[in-house]
Order: sequence, then structure tokens, then C-alpha cells
Amino acid sequence: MTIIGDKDSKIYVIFRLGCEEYGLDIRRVQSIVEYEEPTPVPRCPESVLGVINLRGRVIPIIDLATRLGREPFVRGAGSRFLVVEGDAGVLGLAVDAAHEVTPIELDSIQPTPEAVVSGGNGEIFEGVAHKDGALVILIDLDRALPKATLGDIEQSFDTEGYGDV
Amino acid sequence: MSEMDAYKDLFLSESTDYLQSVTDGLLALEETPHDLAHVEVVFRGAHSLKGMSAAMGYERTAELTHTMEGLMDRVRHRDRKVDADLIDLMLDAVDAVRTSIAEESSGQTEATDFSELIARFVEMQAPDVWDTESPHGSDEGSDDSKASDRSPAVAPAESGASTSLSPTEGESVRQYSVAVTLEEDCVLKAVRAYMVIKRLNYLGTVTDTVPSARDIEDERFDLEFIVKVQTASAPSEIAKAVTAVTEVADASVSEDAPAVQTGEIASSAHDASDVSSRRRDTPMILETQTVRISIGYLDSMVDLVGELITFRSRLDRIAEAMGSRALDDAVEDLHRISTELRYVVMDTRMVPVENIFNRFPRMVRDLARALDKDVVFRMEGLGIELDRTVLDEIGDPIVHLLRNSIDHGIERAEARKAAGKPPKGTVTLSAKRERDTVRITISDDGAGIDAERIWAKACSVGLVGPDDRATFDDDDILMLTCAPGFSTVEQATRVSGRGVGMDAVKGKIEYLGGSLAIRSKVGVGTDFELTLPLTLAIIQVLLVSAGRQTFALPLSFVDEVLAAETVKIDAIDGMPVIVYRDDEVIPLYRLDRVLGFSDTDGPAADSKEQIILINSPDGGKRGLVVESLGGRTEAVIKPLSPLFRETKGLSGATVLGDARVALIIDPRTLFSG
Repeated sequence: MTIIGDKDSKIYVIFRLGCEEYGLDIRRVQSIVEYEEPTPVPRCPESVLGVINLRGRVIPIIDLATRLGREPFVRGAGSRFLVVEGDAGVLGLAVDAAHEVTPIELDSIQPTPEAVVSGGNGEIFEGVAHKDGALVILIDLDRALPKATLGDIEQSFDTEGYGDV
Repeated sequence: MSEMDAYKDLFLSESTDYLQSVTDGLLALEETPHDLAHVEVVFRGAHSLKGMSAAMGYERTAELTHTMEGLMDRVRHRDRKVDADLIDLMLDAVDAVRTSIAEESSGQTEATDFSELIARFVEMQAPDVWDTESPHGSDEGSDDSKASDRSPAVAPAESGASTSLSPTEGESVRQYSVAVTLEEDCVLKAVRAYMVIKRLNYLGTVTDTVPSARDIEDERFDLEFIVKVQTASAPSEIAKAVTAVTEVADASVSEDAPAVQTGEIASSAHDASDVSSRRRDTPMILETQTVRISIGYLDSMVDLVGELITFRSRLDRIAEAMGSRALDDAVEDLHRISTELRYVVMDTRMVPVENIFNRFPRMVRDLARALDKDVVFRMEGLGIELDRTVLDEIGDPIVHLLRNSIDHGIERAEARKAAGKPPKGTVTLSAKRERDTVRITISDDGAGIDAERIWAKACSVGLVGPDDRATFDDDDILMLTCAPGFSTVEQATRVSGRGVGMDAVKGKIEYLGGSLAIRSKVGVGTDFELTLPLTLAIIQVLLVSAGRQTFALPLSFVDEVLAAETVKIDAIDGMPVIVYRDDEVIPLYRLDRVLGFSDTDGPAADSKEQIILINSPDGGKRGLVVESLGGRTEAVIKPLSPLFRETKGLSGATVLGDARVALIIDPRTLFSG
């Protein structure tokens, strides 16, 4: 498959969640890997399914569906992880299928219709595009990912001076 | 990285080295004000910094270092005596240089105002004013320091080289310049040059080279180079030694003007506190072939070795399942190789404790002055190595303990005299390697800690009951100072006593997998002893299962494992407990429940389950109930994503032999989540 992206189009990875198709800028996708059961992390946010071993690195897996305000992710036959890098480092997005890479012309992108936006998640979407008669919802990755909490890891230790004996 | 950035990195790392040697020199000078060797170290350090910063275009830094150099030049010529004021001013100037380097190298336009500092220099009768036309105004009499101007950013070996001179009695040591010409078709120029320098170092002490050692190492010279050597050997012997090296065409030896203050240095005794600065000054020219390497590479090497070890465990399982003899043997070999590789890689991350210890003499001095205490500070075992990650973490705890020793340990001079002690107190910081651990001791010969006073304090804040006295020996009582909430507030001063306390120190050491011990004798002194693992990247863990998931529990927290069926479980206020060794009541927690996997109100422990006794930071024990044990193993620690920052109770993850991920439990935060 040859993909040529010119000035007027961007290349997207097309994936499926539930019965909807989504697109993610290919430059943000490091790889697409086979699904494996993530190790659950206790006490962590709901949208994190757990962690996996990605070639020696331990990365979190995000339930993109809950981030988008959809039904929680359930493993299916075609499930994959899209490996992406965000503010909080490398992480995997659980999707139902990732099957296509395609250029989308920028001027074919339209504002997200109200019907798609639910639960005040509108800012996650870049817009929608039509492809082969179907609607593809384009995702703004940075807005879709959970933010690393700003808690100061070192807060428990004061470097200047402490108590006494 | 652009070329200029590369130079900048080099400049920053080398200027740090020089600032350190200037600081060391100043502190040594304060100890022995008449020792011109130290003056020389400081002078040359300032001089080199000046040359380097001028080359980088950092004018303010160049100006400051020029002023410092000027003052030291006066000291060198005995126009100005060394006193505490002078050392103070010079140390302040070191701080200012550090600031100005930070500002100029980051291109900051907002510059700190140093005019007050400069005014103090003027007051101290520093003679010259910065003159951009002739920046080397004070160079006369120090021939070899000129070399630093030719290659300002490099020349690791030149600073204060003459101080390492130790001529044999009765022989006259002279300084020679040896101009060496290599044969025209010489291929391995750097190697030949290395051999020449090595031979000259054998005859005497190589003090400098033109071009610099680094340029020679990188073969940035034509066929000729000059080596400056201080030796008692005759010129003919020198020439003979040099021309004996293959592919050396010619060597011409000429005597330089007598080296400055050779006599004084030869007669000055170097005491123990001087060892560090001397080490640094010894020419390191090509003695060991080293490269500077980004720590990122080392980190990824550790990661890869970790993967290799994980992979090895996988092969182990496969070989076992297949029952293949040949595969078994091959895996056995892989074991040997990967273990060796792991040691080599870990070795590359080892850094001498000197790297953090070297900032302490200055701190101790400033602190002792601020508190009006007279303190001699000694450091031992500077060459002992620790993993970089461990070393980075222990600086603050050591600072705290040193402060304690100076503030609370060392008495004032009058009190010491009255007690029949030398008026100057001694604080010693030492490092010692013991098998897989490094022991760092901070000891003082001060007043010691009164266990009874600590006991009374612990009672008053409710940490212990007066009736418990019999169960505590003196060492136990001293450890109470590390309990959260213990703080002898009445003693708090501006130096220590900000309330975080010894519990933070102990917590940090334990977090690093180490331990803290306190020994003290009233009137004699106190020892704080830190025992630390050599490395953090790989730890021993116990694999346990809870909620049908495998977790890794650092072995350093595990005291004992009990089979649930062998113990009787009681309840106090509905809380399950066991009575351990007839007298200790230990509360029980189910790991799956603590982690939120199960909220059933079932029994505290099934008879098939295991109870792991873990030591907790507050000194008490807890029993952790797990479904089963998976054995003990070496775990390569992988950090968890920042997404889990607020997730309490986990300190990382590791990859098991079957490639699954196991989370590493952090018992320190497990119960607070």
C-alpha cells in the first residue's frame, strides 16, 4: 500500500470503537499491537484498563471508549492497542479494530455534528470526514488522553532542612 | 546538537569541575593558610575558568574569575594574607561565578548584580580592573598556564599540577619542555603520544601538554607536540626515554624557568583532609581511556539487560517444559553471559561517592561559622562507588545528618574545654564497601544523645508509655527520634528543626532499600550509620498472589512469612490480629482487600493462605495476608507511568519470566491509599 500525503491532506489511522469509525493522525501513532490482557492496576482511574509489557517497557492501557463517553471497552476478536505518546509518556489505546490507514483531505473535514458529541466531550474531536460514504470521527489526541496528575512526587522530602534529634 | 551546544555542554561540565577544585582549594587553604600549593590550585582554577568563559563569550563570568585570579595572585606573591574574610569573599565569588555561568549559558538577559561583590574585592585590594585589551595581565611566572588559553574549553590535566610534586630528598627537580616530533608516516599518532607521556610520567610528573591532553587524545595535532614534565632526570635521559618510543623521530628537551614554590610544596605535609583535592590535581593525562557518555544510554542499557534477564527466564521455562538437554546447556551459557553482562552494565553506572561528598566541606564550613562552632571536617572513602540512582537520593539525608551533628552534637569550644576535649570538634563522613552494600557513617565527637531525655520526650508526645521502659534498650530509644511526630521542639534552631525530622531521613533510606542505625554515648559522640544497596535498578522481591494477580513485594520489607494455618487469629475491636512470639500484637490486612480487589467480609485469612510480616516505617509490624507465594526472584524495576502518580501503594512494575507484568508493592504507602 502506498500512501502519499500532500499538503492538502493528512494521513489518518482509521479504527473502530463500537459501531463508529474514528481517525487519529498517523504521526501520533507509534505502532499498532495485538491485544493482550492488561494487568489491572489497583486504585487507578477508571479509564485505565491496566498495564502491559511492550517490549520491556511497562505502559498503561487507556480505555478510549470511556474517555469518549461511550460504553466501556470489551475485548473482541479484532481488538488492538494503538501505541501513542502523550504528555504522560507512551501509552496504549484499546480499540475494537484498527484496519486502515488513509489520507483525508483537509477541506473535506467538517465540524463535529451535535449528534456525535455526548456528555460534553466535544473538544476531544477535531471534526468529521466522509470516507466511502461512512462518517469518520477525527480525534484530537492530546485532548483525548488523561493528564498526568500534577502531584509532586518529591513532595515528601524537604531538601532544605528538616527536624532535629 | 549543534557544535556550539556541544562546546557548551563540555564547558558546563568542566567549569563545574573547576569550581569544585577552587572550592576544595579554598577550604584547604583555610586549614593551612601558609600552604602555597592550595593558593596555586585556586589561582589556576580561576585562571582556567577565565580562559574558558572568555572563549565562550561569557564576559561577566570572565570578569569575575579574573578578579578572583587577581586576588589570588596577590596572595601568591604574599601581598595579601589568608584569613577567614578572604576565604569568605572567594567562596561568595565562587557562588557568583556559578550564578553568572547559569545566566550567561542560558542566554538570560536579566543578570544578577555583582557590583557589591566586586566592591568587596576592591576593598580587599585586588589590584587590577578588568581590561578586555589584555586579559592575561597576571600571567607572568606561570608559563604553563598559558596553554589553557590555547584550548580553553579543554585541558583536564593542567590545574594545579605542580602541587602533586613529591621529589625525593636531595634530588633537584626541574621543569622541562619536551618537544616531540613523530615520524611523517606515523599512523597511530595518539597512541605514540600516549606512550611518550606515559614514559615521561614514569620519569617524573607530566604537568601539561601542548596541545591539551584531550586534543592529543583526539589526534588534533600535526606531527609535533610538547610535553611539560617535572623530573629529577637529566635531559639526556629524558630524550633517550622518548626516542625509544616507536615512530618518534625527534625529541628536544629544554629546561623551563624554575617551577614556582617548588620547595615549599615539597616540604608541606598533606594531611588527610587534603586527599580529595590532591587526587583531582594529579595529572590524569591519558592514564585511563574514558569517554563521557550520556546517562540516557546507560539507562537504556540497564533496560535492555533487564529485558535480556526476563527473556532468559522465559527460555528457562521453555527448556524445562521441553526437557531438552541441549537447550538446557545453551540456556546455562546464556545465564552466565547475561549475569556477567549485568555486572558490567551496572558497573558503568557506578559513581564515586566523592561526586556528592565534595559539596559537603563547604556546607560544613558555612554552617559551623553560622553556628559559631569550631569544627574539623574529615571525609574518608571518597573513591567508594554507588549506583548513580542511589547516590542522587542520599545527598539530602546526609546533609540533614551533618547538620544534626554540627548543630546538636558538637559543643561550643568552652564547653568542650570544660569537658576535657580538644576545643575543635571533629565530624567525620566516611564510606565503606561491605559486600553488596555501602556503609556511610556520619560521626561526631560531640555531646552525644541522652537516651533518658529522648525517652522522656517520647513519653510526653505519647509515642511510648512510661511502663514500656523495660522493653527498650538504649539503641531502641535512639531510634525513637526517627518516629513520625517526634521532635525535640525546644531545641529547634534556624539550622535544623523545620519539623520534617529524622523520620524523613529514615524513610528515605528505607525507600532506597537501606537501613539507618544510631549509636551514641553521652559525652563521647554520636554515629549515624546508613547501610545502602549498591544499586536500585534490580531488587530482590517475593512474588505473592492476591485477587488472582501476581504482585512483587520488596524483600527488604519482609521480616517473616507464616502459614496461616499455624497461627491463631484473634480480633481486637473487630480488627483481626495475631499474637506474635507471645507478646507482640500484629494487625492483619488482606492484600486483595487493601488494594480494593475484594470487599467481602470473609475471614481474615484462609488456612491455605500465607501471612507475610512486613516492617513498616513507624517501627511496628503488619501482617499481610496473601493467597499464595510465588517464590523469591530478582526483579528489574520498571517505572510506572506518570498517570499513576496518585496511585498509592505501588513503587513500580517488573516483567516476569512469562512476560506478564507484576506490580511492585510499596509497603510504605500501601496503607495510606
